[in-house]
Amino acid sequence: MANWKVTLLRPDEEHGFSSFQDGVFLLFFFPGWWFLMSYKDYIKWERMPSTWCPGCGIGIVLKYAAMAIDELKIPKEDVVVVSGIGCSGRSAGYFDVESLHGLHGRALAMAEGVKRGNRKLKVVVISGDGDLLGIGGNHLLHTSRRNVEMCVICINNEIYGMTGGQMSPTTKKGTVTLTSPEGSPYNPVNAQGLITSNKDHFYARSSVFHLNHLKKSIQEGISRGGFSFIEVISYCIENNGRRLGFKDAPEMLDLIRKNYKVNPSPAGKLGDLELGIVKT
Amino acid sequence: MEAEKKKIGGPLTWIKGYCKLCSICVYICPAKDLMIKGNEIVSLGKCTKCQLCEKFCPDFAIEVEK
Ligand SMILES: Cc1ncc(C[n+]2csc(CCOP(=O)(O)OP(=O)(O)O)c2C)c(N)n1
Ligand code: SF4
Ligand SMILES: [Mg+2]
Repeated sequence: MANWKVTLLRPDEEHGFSSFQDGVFLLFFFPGWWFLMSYKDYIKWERMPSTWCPGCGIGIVLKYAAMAIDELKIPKEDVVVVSGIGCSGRSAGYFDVESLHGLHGRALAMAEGVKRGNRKLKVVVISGDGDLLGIGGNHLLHTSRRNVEMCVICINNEIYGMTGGQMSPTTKKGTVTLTSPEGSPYNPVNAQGLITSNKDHFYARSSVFHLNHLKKSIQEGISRGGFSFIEVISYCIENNGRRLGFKDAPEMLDLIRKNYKVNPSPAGKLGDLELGIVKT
Repeated sequence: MEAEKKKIGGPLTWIKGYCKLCSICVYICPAKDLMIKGNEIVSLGKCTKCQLCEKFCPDFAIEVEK
């Protein structure tokens, strides 16, 4: 489909139509052109390859977020992607839409500002567990309580990836990390409990192995019309793989496949090793 | 900047300029069609066009013609 459109209309164009000129050209000759956009139009190809380590799941989330936005047919000018700091926080820079990459932990505050400034915009936040639940935990508490319309994708690798693998608020009890050589002594933060304690809530847990579920969760999250939180399981290969017992990306995916199962209709609450969507 | 591309047989195009050789495609292919040989991805001609490699690649580095 994508190939057909490209060869028919502009044989030299690689990744579909994105520039203003192309838009005018297409709109004039073929008013339904935006039905033929693909997720590739939402990505900044001149910045590729990304800086993430080989096989890191953040790239998969980037691709599926772009696909979800594309399939909902949201025009590029109506999407804003916001990120905090961290490996996951680099995602915003790879989207060819308006994006914001700000202070560590303040992704939700910036996103809420964008939304309140222009309510027409669809705001998507992509950031890490340390950014959203650690240093930015207070913002999560209140933005979710106020039910501000935005879709938050939290890439949960249970670690501070970018700074070398320190234990994060989501590190499971007993997990060995750089800063917990004898295993983390604390219980992890319960993101599901925090989000679902709000009367009106949308919480989803997905993974970089369960791709259809991931895309469906993001789509439902974006089109919900309120605050939605999607936790995506993706372990850090370089900084904690050796401590968790895998050495490369295929083994990481295999571990997720073995550990997590999708629960298509959870009754109010997801189990620790279940993926699914909990909403009101 | 245009990334370097290579047809690796059948419906497969490998985008060398984006590939980090993470080997997810080799693991995920149900037909065991892909292989890493030196610093290159090669196809053994068994592709069934299921597109799993394209779906799982985190770096947009492999494309399957439909
Ligand atoms: C105010 C502030 N404190 C600390 C840091 C250092 N720092 C950079 S990234 C990071 C952790 C990010 O972890 P996470 O959000 O989980 O992202 P990941 O790299 O795991 O994707 C920290 C602590 C910083 N940049 N700014
Ligand atoms: S350090 Fe970890 S989280 Fe960061 S890009 Fe590498 S594998 Fe991914
Ligand atoms: Mg993290």
